Amino acid sequence: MTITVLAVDDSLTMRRLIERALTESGFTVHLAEDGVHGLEVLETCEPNVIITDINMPRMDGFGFITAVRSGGPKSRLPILTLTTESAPELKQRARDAGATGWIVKPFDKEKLANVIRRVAV
Amino acid sequence: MEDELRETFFLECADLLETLESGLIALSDGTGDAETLNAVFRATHSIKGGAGAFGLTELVRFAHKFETALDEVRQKRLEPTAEVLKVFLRSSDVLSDLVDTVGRGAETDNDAVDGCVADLTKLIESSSGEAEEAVDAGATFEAMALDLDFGPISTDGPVDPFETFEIEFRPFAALYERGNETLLLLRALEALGECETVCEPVAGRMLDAVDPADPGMTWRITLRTEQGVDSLWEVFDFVEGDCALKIRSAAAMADESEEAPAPPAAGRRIRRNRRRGVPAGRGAAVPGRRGAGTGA
Repeated sequence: MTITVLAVDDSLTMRRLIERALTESGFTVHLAEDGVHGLEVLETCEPNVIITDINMPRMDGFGFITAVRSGGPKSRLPILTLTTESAPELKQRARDAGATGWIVKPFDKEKLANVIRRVAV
Repeated sequence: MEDELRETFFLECADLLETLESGLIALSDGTGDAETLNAVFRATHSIKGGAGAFGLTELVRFAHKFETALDEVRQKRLEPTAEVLKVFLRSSDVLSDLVDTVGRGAETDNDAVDGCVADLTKLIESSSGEAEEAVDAGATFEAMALDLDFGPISTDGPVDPFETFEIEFRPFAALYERGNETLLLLRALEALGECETVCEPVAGRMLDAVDPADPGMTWRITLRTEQGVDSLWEVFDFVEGDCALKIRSAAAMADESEEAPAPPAAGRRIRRNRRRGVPAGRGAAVPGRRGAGTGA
């Protein structure tokens, strides 16, 4: 089964880095540039895992996670937060919003792939 | 490909620096608002994130300090006075120069950078709250209960690298609400060694009365592995707090118990996997290995 990932990040560089890392690991990748765009893209694809940055315009990661978890057939997809912040209260805030787990940037391509395989449904 | 991505980063930096500068000017002349401040913070944050991906540590270091000071204002722990904004504008210039010199591979003006870092540090230290500076990327600190019961030390024969652990795991509804899955956790444990898994359903609950969103089942797993207890805890990294979890060394448990071993759990054995190369039998006591026990 090819794992499909929806990656949401406002940084073009990050989106390209994530896309490269994940496609090299054999995943199919969809990209979005903020939470609002992420919800739009989610309507059109069937990801197994979602990765999202936290600090984004229009709708940040917390808002995006809350919106995904609010209901619908995709509300229980695993969502990983991808962030430079490893502060405990930010992790807790992400958990409270409904995040499944987290990956700290800068990420190691192998570790990123392994974490995604670990949670992908 | 790497060069192309690096070029993308520096091109993006140009846009981000423009956002940063124009945002700070707006805040200085009173035309900016909370969203302007957020945009300024995000620009610095994105530069830091991209710099980290390419190992540009000087840039990461400065952007991190700048971002921390900006966050103090965002969190209303530091007043954005004219003096504060002057420091931020100067920091924006330094960041811009740093991006330029790092991009060209040239030598940076350490005096300018260090001077600005000192000013930003003063602002952070003067703020009304404790600045929550992010731990260096890659370093995460998770508190763990330690059980210093090492079990009996065996002095004869070769050291057995395999150890047997008894795991008791009961997922709560929140585990599933956050997109986690018991099956995936069990698979992750199976990847570590030989597993025998028993599922204990809630007493008296028939299968058709089980709520899939909150099954209330307890899973008892006996795992024989040479990976060490830290690898087990890593499996449950994301679900801590969303389950009741105990991980104990079988050897330590055997020493604790002076009675006859407890009868097998009255549950159904669901899965047993025996990986090739994993010797059968209980783990012998290993000198220096710590048992682990905690409840969640």
